[in-house]
Amino acid sequence: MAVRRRLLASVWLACVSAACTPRPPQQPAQPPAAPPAAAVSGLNVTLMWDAPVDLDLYLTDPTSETVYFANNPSRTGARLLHDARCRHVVGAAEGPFFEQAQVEDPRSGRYRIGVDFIDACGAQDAAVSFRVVVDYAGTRRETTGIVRLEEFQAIVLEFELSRLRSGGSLTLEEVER
Amino acid sequence: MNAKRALRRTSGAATVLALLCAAAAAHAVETGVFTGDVRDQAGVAVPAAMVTAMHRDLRRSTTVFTDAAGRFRLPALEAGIYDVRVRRIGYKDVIEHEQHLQDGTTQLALKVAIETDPNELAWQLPSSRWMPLLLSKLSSDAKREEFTRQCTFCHQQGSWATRVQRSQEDWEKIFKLMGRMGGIISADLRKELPDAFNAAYSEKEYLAKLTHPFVPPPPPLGIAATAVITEWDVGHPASLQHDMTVHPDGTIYSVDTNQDQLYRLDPRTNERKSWPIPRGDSPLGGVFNTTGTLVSPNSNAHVAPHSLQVGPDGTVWITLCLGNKVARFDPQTEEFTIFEQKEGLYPHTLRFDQKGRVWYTLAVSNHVGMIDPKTGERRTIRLPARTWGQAAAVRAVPAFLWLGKFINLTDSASGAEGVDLPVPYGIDIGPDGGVWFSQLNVRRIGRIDPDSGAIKMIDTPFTGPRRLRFDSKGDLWIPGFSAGLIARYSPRTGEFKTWKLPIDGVETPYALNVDRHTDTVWVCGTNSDSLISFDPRSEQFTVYPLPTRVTYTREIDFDTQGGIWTSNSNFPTWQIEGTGPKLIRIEPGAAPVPEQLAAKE
Repeated sequence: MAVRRRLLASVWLACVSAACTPRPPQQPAQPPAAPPAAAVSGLNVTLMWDAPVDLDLYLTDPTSETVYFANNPSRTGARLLHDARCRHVVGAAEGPFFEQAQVEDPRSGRYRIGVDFIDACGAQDAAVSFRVVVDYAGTRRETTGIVRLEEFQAIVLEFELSRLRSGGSLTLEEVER
Repeated sequence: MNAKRALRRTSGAATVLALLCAAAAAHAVETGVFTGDVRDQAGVAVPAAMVTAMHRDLRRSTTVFTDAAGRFRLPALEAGIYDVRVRRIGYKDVIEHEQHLQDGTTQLALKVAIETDPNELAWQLPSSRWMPLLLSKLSSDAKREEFTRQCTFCHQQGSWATRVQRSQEDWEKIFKLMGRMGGIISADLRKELPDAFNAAYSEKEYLAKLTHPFVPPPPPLGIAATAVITEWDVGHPASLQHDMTVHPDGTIYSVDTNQDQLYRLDPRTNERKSWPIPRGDSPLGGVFNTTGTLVSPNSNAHVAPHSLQVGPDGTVWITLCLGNKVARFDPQTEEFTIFEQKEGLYPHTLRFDQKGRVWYTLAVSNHVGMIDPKTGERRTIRLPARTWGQAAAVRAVPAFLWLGKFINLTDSASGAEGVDLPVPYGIDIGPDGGVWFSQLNVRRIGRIDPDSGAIKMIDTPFTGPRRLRFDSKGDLWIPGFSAGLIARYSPRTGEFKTWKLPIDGVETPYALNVDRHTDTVWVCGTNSDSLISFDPRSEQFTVYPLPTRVTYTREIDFDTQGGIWTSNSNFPTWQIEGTGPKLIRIEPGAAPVPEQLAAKE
């Protein structure tokens, strides 16, 4: 009986919550402005947003290992330097809020950035605008997007760090999708 | 002689001929043999140590065990450069790098040191030994069963990657992520788990429970002690190599769920080949992309191949669980044919019947599907749910997927109050053509009459019936995933008999298969880095320890040379020791007899 009630409740609640949280009736606010380029060490990836919710940054390196809140640091040396949680954003004066991953000595190859909207932190935001900025050796790539509650966007941006010539330094190139 | 036996004999002759040809072709390849012994610092022989020769270029490892005198002899291997590792739980691993194997015999005198660090000792133990620490912290058997069934179906529990101290906040976020990947647990269990994890895997707790006293797993016995275990790397760290199957031509096919690839290994030549599986218009995440279902960060799964079997004509049939399709691959033309699944969701495990029709479970929607390649006939059969609430829930899923295109459904997955959907899982065909399946979450198996469509449901006296198989006598063998046992069900008498698996700790047998020539039952030691055989006549188990830590196995198949095959498909793959997924072959009793090194000395 309890199981039946639970199942019914979950089906009903799913329907109701779905009906109550329609896709955004209007576009969420514009993503925050990009920070000015600064001298940074290694490869830096920054996720920024304004709404008081918990977004998570995922950075997958060329070995296919991902640094994110539950795997920090990665075994390959990537670190999540700043991990914003509900307790950081709820009651905060205003955004932008951010998460930042850094790879001090990045290896060459393809990197992938994902964004997850894991928790609305009690807010009513069903969708949030965000900006992702990649900085490496004076080169910047960035993108913006909108992510829905509990949606994981696995590929927000992909880029390559590659050597144009043997022994040369790595350069950052965005991968076209 | 009946036709089947004649066919088998012809097939056997063809195999011998093929082997002779292969041997002749291989004659040009220079081979050598590693042999030697393993001793500790005091010169005492170390029995039952795994000696593994790893060929970097071939991406293949070969393992034997030392005998009672510490001696070993690997089978003949290609000349080249190997890393040779010695491993025995209770001793420090030793790796001798860049050992040159040349034509003839290469002697190795390998020294290992006894491990004295209690932390290191504990960390050598397989996940099966750690998981009881966590279960002991939960407040009821029901929660222990729910955790075992729902939190171990992608990866081992108790592995190094799960033994992490985290904040309450982190644990709750992880449970949300897991829920979106299908590991949905009840609110009561979610509430208990953070403290349970942190308490169970605290250093004080695990040292007390696992090292006072330290009891290593027992050594392999009988023909397991003289087995040769070969592992081939397949795919890469972003792969999820799910199931594998042995093709009658001697090659091994497997699928990469995370990267939409079909792999083929020829174990005679070590050649690997892969083909991208056509995605059509399936988006990343397939038909579930609207629901918030989480694909992994390194996933490229649009169709997500899950399971595969070889049809009577040698074509390879593959279920595409996220794409909601079935694929047929023709090894001759290397072309795919795609069958869209219009009704039902999540094509899963598949088997062929005696008429050449392929039957498969549709795990999310509680159906069984059928394709007749000869006639093109398709069937989708709805299975009974245990309660009308479950029936309503599974019927609602397609509507959720459709609605998800327009409204936000995503908050329903991870916040659900534990979902006991039936989940039709394993499937096999009885000698009379009956189609048998399990319903993983509701302790049931069932039989579909393929002619009338009538369905008979049978309660199992254990939890978690998963990938089941018939033996040659028409008895059905079933692993109890969350019960740590195997069961035999007799369709004639309606009786069950169960045997607890001989693994110290918590075992979660995902699948089994029956060698129908001997009726030996082979079982996945999914949480203990092992395969386990069971002789129904003597009712004796034999445990085969596997060399790679975090070896999570989901399927078993047999070749015609006495080899037993499985695949390491722990997900996420980076939890597996080494570089990624593997295809694994065990040949019981095949290790060459070591030379009398001691006598020579």
